Amino acid sequence: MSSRKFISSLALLTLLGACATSDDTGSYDAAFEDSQTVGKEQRLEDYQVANLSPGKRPPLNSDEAGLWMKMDNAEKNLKTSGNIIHDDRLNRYLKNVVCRVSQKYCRDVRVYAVRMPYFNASMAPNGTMQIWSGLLLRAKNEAQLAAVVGHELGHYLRRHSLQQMRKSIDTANTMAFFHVATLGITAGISDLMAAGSLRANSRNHEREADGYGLVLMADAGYDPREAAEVWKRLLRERQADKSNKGGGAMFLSTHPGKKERVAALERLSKRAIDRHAKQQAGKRRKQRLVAGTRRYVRAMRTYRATFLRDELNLRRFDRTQELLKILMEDGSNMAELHYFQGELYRLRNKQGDTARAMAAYRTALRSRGTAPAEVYRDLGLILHKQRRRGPARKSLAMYLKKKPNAEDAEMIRYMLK
Amino acid sequence: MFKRITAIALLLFVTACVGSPVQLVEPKNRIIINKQYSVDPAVSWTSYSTASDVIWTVDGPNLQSLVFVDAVADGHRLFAGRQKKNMPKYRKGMTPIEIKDVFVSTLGRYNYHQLKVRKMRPTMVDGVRGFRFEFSGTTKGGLNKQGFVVGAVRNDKLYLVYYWGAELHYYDKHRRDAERIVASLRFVKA
Repeated sequence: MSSRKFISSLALLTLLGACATSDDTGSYDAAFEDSQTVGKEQRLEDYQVANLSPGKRPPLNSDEAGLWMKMDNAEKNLKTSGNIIHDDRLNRYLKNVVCRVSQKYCRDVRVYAVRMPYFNASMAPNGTMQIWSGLLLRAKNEAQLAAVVGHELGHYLRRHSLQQMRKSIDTANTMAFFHVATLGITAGISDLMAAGSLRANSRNHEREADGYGLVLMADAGYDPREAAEVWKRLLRERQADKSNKGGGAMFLSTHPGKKERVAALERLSKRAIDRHAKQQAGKRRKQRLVAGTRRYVRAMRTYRATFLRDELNLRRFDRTQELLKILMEDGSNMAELHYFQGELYRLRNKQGDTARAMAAYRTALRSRGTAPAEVYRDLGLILHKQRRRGPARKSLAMYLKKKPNAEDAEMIRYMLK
Repeated sequence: MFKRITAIALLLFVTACVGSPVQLVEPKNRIIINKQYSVDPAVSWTSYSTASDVIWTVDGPNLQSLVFVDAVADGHRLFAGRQKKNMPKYRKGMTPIEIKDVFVSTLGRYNYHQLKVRKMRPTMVDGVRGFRFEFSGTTKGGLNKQGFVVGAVRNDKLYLVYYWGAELHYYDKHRRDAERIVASLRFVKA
């Protein structure tokens, strides 16, 4: 065999080895395997990779320190970003939930509520956690929020960012070697395989974080069955989105499919409950597993209308319709939800939507809870456009009575003249 | 020689980034905007155009800008520039309050945050019944800005002019000039 053929073969074998990071659905169980080995009293440190001790930073001469430094700089920008929610009450509530799940790592985690209408949370290796308002809108209870927080803490404790960074460097080095060895002939294929390998690694990290999230939330006293419910709700929204046909290529996706996640989390939640029961056996004061719905609804009450308005501004009406349906099934402040149903129809403006909007506004006024004062205004404006002067005046006048200093009060008074 | 090359390169770069050459607008004569209306500049401005707007500024568009939005037809969005999915659109027959909501949600989609509106009230724009309101918001980078909008619907088209700038110093610096310019607006007779 010629030396060039030998080097090419070696490069190909190396590449295939790198791509051996295929999807490993066993990664979900990693947290449970870890926790089995450490005995009855589980400590959070036992789930960690290497020596991520609370309060410690990596040594300055390490690659991990370089990663933390980048994250520290990113956090400086985040702090002054225009979409950070500077609301003490909300931030205190979120920090309490995070601390309940993260225990001894509470002081190392800095939580930022971000006003972005998409379902997302993230955690950087230096302890920066972002929770987006789209997630807060979609969670039904504190346990569902805790499931996502626990998932992010799983990434943090297992140092997935560092693993991914090292893997990316190794893969890039392998690709460079492979390109040279094969004279760049298979550059496109090898790049695709490299991307696929990295994505598979990322998917396994997501699976592992899901598993750790369940363990952490159950240890904190949250019902682990709520973890699967988060994804079921998102799946419903996604399936309702007519513009999003097909789930996208799994090969290049960084996350496992939602259906796979739901199935795995349902299976593992039973394990988590059994594990929790064993932990509580023999204790005089047993910790109950709770959903924390009432506490969560109370905490989100003043923000939900703002988050719903942000959601409507995206104008993804199919998804938002399904989200409203889910929130109505949850049953909290129906008056507010019916008002936003009316807003959806008004903004969508398909044939028949004006009548639907009026009906929804009227339902809001009859429903349990408190609709925003704007329901009178928006109903009045439709009546005004329909030249139904009497009912329009009545509705607009009621808006001014409820909100005499509204930003558009003067405009409304002018319309009433 | 090197300075000259740098200046030319900078000018080329700026003109490549905007839709039309950067020009100096002087307060000598009325200026016709988009062949739709004329205004009295009041002071000197730097002017350039984008896909949908004519923008005037003194200290740079991120610090303060007076924006003349191209007339918006029924069913179109306010700014023709950057493409984003599902943008809010102006529809004929909208009330001023609905137009205000379209403006605010459009800015929100372009990454301006914490948007608030104040003092919405009726006004006249060259004899056409219109509206104005003040607004404030924060850029993604955390810069607080405030502004005012004046608008009117004429022949089913929406005409909007807005002035906004950094809350600290720059908004106030040419606010009075911007108010004078808007007050001087005269539609071009067809």
